[in-house]
This record gives sequence, C-alpha cells and structure tokens, in this order.
Amino acid sequence: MAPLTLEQRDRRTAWMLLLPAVLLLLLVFAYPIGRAFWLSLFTKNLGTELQAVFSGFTNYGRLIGDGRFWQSFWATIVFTTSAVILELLLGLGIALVLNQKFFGRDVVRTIAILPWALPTALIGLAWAWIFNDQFGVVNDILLRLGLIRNGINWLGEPALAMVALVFADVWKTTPFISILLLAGLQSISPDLYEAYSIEGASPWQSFRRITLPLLMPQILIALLFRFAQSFGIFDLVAVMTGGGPGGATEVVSLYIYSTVMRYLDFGYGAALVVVTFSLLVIAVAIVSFLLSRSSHTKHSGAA
Amino acid sequence: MARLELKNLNKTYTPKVIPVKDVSITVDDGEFLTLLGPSGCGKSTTLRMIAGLEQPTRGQILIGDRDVTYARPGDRNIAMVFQSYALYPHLTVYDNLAAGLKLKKTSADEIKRRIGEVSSFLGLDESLMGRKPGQLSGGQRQRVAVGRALVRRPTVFLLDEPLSNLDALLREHVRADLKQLFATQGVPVVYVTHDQTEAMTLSTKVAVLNNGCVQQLDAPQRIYSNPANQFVASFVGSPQMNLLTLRCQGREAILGDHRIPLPQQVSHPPQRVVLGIRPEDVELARSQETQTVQGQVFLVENLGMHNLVSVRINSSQGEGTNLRVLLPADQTWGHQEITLALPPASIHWFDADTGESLLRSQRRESLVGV
Amino acid sequence: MTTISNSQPIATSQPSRHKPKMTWRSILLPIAVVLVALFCLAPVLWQLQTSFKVNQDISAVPTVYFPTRYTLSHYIELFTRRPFWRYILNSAFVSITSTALSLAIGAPAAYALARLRPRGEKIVMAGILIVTLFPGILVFLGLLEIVQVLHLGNNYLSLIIPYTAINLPLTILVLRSFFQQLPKDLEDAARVDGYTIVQMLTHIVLPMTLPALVTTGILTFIFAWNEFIFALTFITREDLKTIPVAAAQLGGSSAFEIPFGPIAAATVLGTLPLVLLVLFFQRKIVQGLTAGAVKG
Repeated sequence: MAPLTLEQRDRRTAWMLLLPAVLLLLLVFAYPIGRAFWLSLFTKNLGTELQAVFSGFTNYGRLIGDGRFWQSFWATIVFTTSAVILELLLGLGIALVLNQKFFGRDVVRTIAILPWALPTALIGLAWAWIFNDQFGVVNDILLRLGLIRNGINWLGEPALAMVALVFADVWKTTPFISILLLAGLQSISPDLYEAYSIEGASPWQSFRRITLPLLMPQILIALLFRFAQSFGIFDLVAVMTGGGPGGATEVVSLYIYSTVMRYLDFGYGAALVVVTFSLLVIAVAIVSFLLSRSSHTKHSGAA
Repeated sequence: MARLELKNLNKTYTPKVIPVKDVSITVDDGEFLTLLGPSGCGKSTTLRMIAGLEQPTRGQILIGDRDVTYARPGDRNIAMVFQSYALYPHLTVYDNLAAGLKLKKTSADEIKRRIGEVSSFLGLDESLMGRKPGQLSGGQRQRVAVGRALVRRPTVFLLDEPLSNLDALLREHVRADLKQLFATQGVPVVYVTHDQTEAMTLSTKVAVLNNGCVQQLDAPQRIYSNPANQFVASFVGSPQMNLLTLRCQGREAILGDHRIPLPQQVSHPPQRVVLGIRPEDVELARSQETQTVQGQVFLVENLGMHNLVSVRINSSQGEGTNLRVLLPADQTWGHQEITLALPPASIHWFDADTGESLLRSQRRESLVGV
Repeated sequence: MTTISNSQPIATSQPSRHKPKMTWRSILLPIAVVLVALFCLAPVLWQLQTSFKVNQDISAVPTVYFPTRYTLSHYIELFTRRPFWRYILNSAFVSITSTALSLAIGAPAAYALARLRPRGEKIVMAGILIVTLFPGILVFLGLLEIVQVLHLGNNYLSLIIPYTAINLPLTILVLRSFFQQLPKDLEDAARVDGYTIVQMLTHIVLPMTLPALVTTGILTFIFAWNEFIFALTFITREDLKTIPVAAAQLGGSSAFEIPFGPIAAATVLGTLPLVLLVLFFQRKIVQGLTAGAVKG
C-alpha cells in the first residue's frame, strides 16, 4: 500500500483541528433542535408528572388552535417587520451621511457602535425608564411641548408598548446596520458615480441606479441577520414589558419561555420551538434565494 | 553523494489543467540547474514538487537514492529561497536564520557557529541580527533569505525567482554574488526563473520548459547555439531570433526572390521549413558572398552599441518577409536598399509543423540527462 | 531615420465640479451628524445622569434636567445591599473564559478551513453560516434539559459552554477571512524549515494574526457579557448572577417599589467596561464585523 501522501495527511490534520469546534457546535445547536423535534411528539408536563408520554402530533394540533400562540406570532411579525424596515431605512440614511468625509468622523463611528455593544437587558431598563408613564423623559418632553395633556401610559397600552419596543430596538440596532452598510458603500468605486454624473445624472438617480443595486447584497445580508435576530427577540421585551400589557407584546420567544419555565409544559414547548424553527428556515431560504439572484446582477453589471 | 533525480514527474489538477506533464531531469553535486520558461510553463510547480509543497500525480523524486516523493518538506533536508523571501516578520533576523535548525534540535552553540559563518560569508553585519525583517532593505532581506538556506547545510538548494524583486542594478550584483556562492557549496542547485540572462550566466545546465514539458536540457551555451526547437530558439537570445516560415522546393527554401539551400545533413526536407537566424548573426554582404538576400530598410532602432535594423526582403511574389539584423552603430541607415549575408553555419532549420530542429534530429550529440 | 509615432495627447476635459450644493451640504451635514451622535448617546447619558440624582429628583414631575444636588447613594447601595462586586466578577469570569475557549477552539478550525482543504468543507461552512442565524430561544429548551440532567444549574459551565459555542461561528468566519489574507509564502517557508502544521499555527500564523485575535476576542467578550436568556435561566443563585440578569432583577416584579436610582447605577456600571472597550478598539471592532459579515 502506498504511503499516505502529504495531501492525505494534511486532510487528516485538518479534521483534527476542526473536530472540537464541530463537536461543540453539534452539541449546542444540532442536538437541541433535534431534541425539540423528538420531544414535540411527546407530552411532558405537570399533568403527566413530568414524564414523557408519547402523543404523536397532539401538540401540533393544539398549536393550531392555540390563540395565544398565534397572537404571539402576530406580535412577533409586527415587531420584526416594523423594526427591520425602520432600521434598514434609517441605517441606510445614516450610512450615507457617514460616508461623507467630515471632521470627527471616527468619533461618530465610535459613538455609533455603542448602542449595539451595550447589553440589551440593561438598555431595555433604560428605555423602560425613559418611557415611564409618570417620570419618563418622553412624556415630559411631550408635555412641555404641549403636544399632550396627560402622561401617556406607554408601557401600559398595547399598541404604544409595541411602539416603545420597536423604538428601543431601532435605537439599538440601527447604528450597527449603518456600519455594515457603510462598509458596503465604501466598496463602491467613486469612478462609477463620476461616470454617471458626467452623463448628467442627478444624485437621486445615482442613488437609484448605482448605490442601491450595488449595495443590494449587503442590504439583503443585513436583512437576513436582523430578521432572524428580531424573530427571536427576548431580552428587550422581557425587561421592558415582560410581554404585557395583557400579553400584547408577548413575542414568540417569550411565549415559549413561559410555556417551559412557568407552565413546565415541555412537550408543547418543544412543538413551539419546532414550528418557530421551521418558519425561520423558510424565511431564511427565501431571502437567501433573493440574495443569490441579486449578487448575480452585481457581478454582471459592475465595471 | 547527493544527486537529485526527477523521474517522469507529472502534476494533474483536472483533466484540463496539467501544469507538469512529464519532466525527467538529473542534477549532480556541484551542478546548477535552471528551470527556464515563460509563466505557466510548469517550472514553479516542478520546484514545489521537489520541495514537497506539492505532490506529484505521477513520478518519483529521489535525493541521493532516497525516495522522497511523499516525504514531508521538512524531512527532505532541502532549503529554499522564495521569491518574496518569506522571512518570518515577527522574528528577528537571528531567529529567522535559526528557525529551521531549532526544529532539528541543533545545539545552541552549533546554531550560533553556523549563523556566524554564514553571516560573515554573506556580509550580514552583527547589528542586523537583532532587527526584524521589516526594518531591513530589500537587498538585506534577500541575503537573509539566502542565509537561512545556507545555514541548514541542505542536500539540495532550491531558489524560486529570488532576484525578481530586486531593482535592475542590484540584480546584477546579486547575480554575481550568487554564482560565486554556490560554486563553493558543492551540492545540487535548482533555480527557477523566466529571465534568460540569469539562466545563461548562473547555470551549468538549463532546462527550458514550455507547457509542462522539457523542451531542451543542455549547457547554457548549447541552448543558445543549438536550440532543439523553435520555442527554445525564440525564447533564448535577445534580440529575438528571426524565424521565417518558408516554402521548400526540392532542397531549397524560398525566401522572397532568393533561394537558400538546405544543409547536407537534412535528409528529408519537408514542405515547409522555418529558417532561424539571430539578428547578431546576419551580416552585411561583402562582395564575395554568394548567399545573400536583398531588401528595403524600413525601421531602425538604436540600441546604444548597435542598431537593430528591420529589413523587408524583396519579393516579386508580394510575400512580405521581414528580417532583423544587428549592425554596429557607427553606420546610419535610411529607407534604402541593403544586401545581407546569411552565413550557412549560423542558420537554424526547423520543421514548420513540429517546430523541431531539422539538424538535431540527425545529430544527437550532447543531450544530457536521462 | 528612426520612425517615431507622433500624436498629440488629446486634452481630456473634466467637467468642473458643481459647487452650488456645497453650502446646503455644509449646513445640513453637521446637523445630521450631531443628531446621529445624540441619538446614539441619549439613553446612556440619561441613565448616567439618573444614577447620580437624589431620589426626589428622580421621581420629580416635571423631569429635572439640571439637578442641583448629586448623590453616590445609589452606587453605594448596589455594593452594600447587593453583592454587585460579585456580579461584576461573575460577568468578567464567564466572558473572559468563554472568549479564551472560543479563540482556542475557533482559531485552529478557522485555519483548517482557510488553508487546508478538509473533506466536507462546504458542509461545515454552510452549517456554520446557518447556525449564526439561530436565536437563543431555539436551543434553550434542549440545553435546559442537559443542564438539569447533568446538574449544571448554578454552575459557570452552564454558561461558558453555550457562550463558547454561540461565539464559534463568528470567531471562525472572522479568523478564516484573516488567515486567507496571509501570504502563503510564509507557510511554505515554514514547511520547508520543518514545521508541522500544528507548530506552524502556534509559532508562525497566530503571532502574525494577533490583531485579528484581539478583534475577535473583543467581539466575543461583548456578546458573552451581554447575554441574557441563558444567564437568566441557568443561574438562579444570587451570588453567581451576571450583571444583565442581576440588574434586571433589581427592580423585582412589583410595580411599586422600583429602585430607579440603583437600576440606573447598575446600568452605568454594567455598560462601563463595554464603553471603554468600544472607545479603545472601535476600529478593530468595525473591521471584525465587516470581515465576518462580508465573507458571510
């Protein structure tokens, strides 16, 4: 038998280097998901004295009729969509602003990273304080500006609580998005803009015809990440509203959490995890598809 | 002692990408072999296979009768000088030189001794030892790279275009230094370059490669004077050799209005030949010459010591054939008639279809190597 | 005669840059910049101020923007009534350990994926990219079971291991793109010198990518410090809690006695290390993020 070639030995070493990482990832990610799929076919709650009893698709049947789930799903959708759209628009705007050269640009970039770097839970506390109905700054400013007569109970009104949440999330994530988009903007060669403006294009046209298409991959990537993250948002909501008032801001992750931790309904919780996971996968697949299509245009069009 | 043998080396990446098709070469102690060729000819890949950085798909590599084809680079006892020098940026010059020796568990004293020897040999001052590569000049870095190889006392030296990152003036100096240096080492040296001047001045043997195959393996002088095929003829020699594709009638090649007889040794003249003659071998016709051609000068390029004169050969058929001739600069030329002599001894004949030399196939003398 | 090619260079006319928008831009731009900066700093600054206000000023209506008196009582309370210094220690320990582990496991893996070409490379890369998108809630259930079975509740390990795993994808992606940019020659020279792959990693490659390691380390530290859901669930003993959880639970669930002062102080202390990190390493952080994101 021929001695192992260097390439073969290299491959073996490569796998030895990879193994710890792969194992850890499988343990922490693949196992829980797989376990959730399996456990969702069982009933394991206080009723069964925390023993797992096989129940087939009962949990899923229950899920379909579970109003609270669908409400949480809806709340999550509302939150995710509003937050992500706002963040993208604002983020793009800020990126365009930061793209200009100006004095103190580095300082502003530093400041822009702060929101993202700070603990969401602590920031949630800060925003809860700001939106506080009695002592909060927002109410104070609005009162002083004479826009309202009495303090608004932000976190006590369903729709307003959602607004406050979205606002806090937008604050936290927009700067991060803008940094990502800024990197993308800076990779577009200024030559393209110059060539286009020689042909007589207005800034808006430049934006539409050059910036947007070339930035599309970054936008879609940002979209993908933010969508996945917002879908699973937990920290912010738990700390700011706890899901209230009356469950109005209970997002899916909160519902799963309380199902498991408070109601100790493990089987059902597993089913919820499976459904959430599947929905996420579908959404990601769609965006990835769009992403690969748009990167084709980028490579064929750009000079 | 230690002889380097390459036997039928082949490297295939995909069915369409085969950088090295079939290379067989032997390099003995004290020989300096240059792998010469254009980019993509397979010379670097061959070198990397000798080093063990690539694995051959087929073939064998033997160093002193030991089969190292599948051995790790570190186990082959070779040393390599890279085009970019590849000095470890975070280590001092001393540590760079010592790196390979430390891995072989050489004693600290021995390391110090060898480094001392090599640095005085190369003119590397003590003060440089504590510096990092980033703080050295290009020439200094090059010497450290060579030093790193010398210190290892390897069985084979490999050099991958070590001069290409130096500016032209420095290159000449270093070339001379390298020649003297390796003359004293006594082990096989394999050198890769696309620069024919380096190949000609440094080597004892040159292997001209093209398309993954050895076109000719010979001493530098014979590569120049007896190219085995059209490719070698056109690659070596500056200005480039004139290569004229001509029809044959009987035993004569038709050049414009002139007929040039093929030499005796060519037993089966083909339909078409390529006549090769270097610009420096073409002469101004003197009165006694019988084999002459006539033409019109249409371009003169001043090269300092010479003029490179381009001549269009007269042809009543309207075939345009151009001949370039290197003439002394003391005579100026305008658009005028000129008569040139083509000394038969300086003419190289090639088969127009295969590119092979028509003369060498009859005269297999100095083919060196396996 | 030497034939020379004669051609006059065609004068290229550049359109003169339009200047009229300059004034419009020079006014709006600074304003926009200032707005952006304020936008980002506002909540943090507000908490900062709140943390030094006396309780009467905190609960004053209308809000006091320029208090005349300050107090350190909230901070003192944090350290006397509650073991805040323990929270800091816990957060620091867990963050640093998981960062170190993440780098130790992620760097070799990133190298293997960058240079060697292991079989199944594409699957591994795809898996890593997909995993970056998982929200914590999805793995929380399965991990909870493991923690319960192994009695890892209230054990640092229950946090360190998940944090390391969650940081691995980013670590691997960022380091991989850094490794790919290293000149290959150095690794070739090392192999000729006789370094094995592992030796090459430790002696040559890693020292050269120190900046990348620092960058990645900072990113993983930030994540670990901020993490909430696992810290909330797996650690219930008061003296083992990390800062985000401890601060959130300062308020308790009762709506009456909410200690806004101490909460603000906790927020400031909890964010201070990160603010310092960002201040000093801003450029590296952005580099790391964009390297990871662009390659993804």
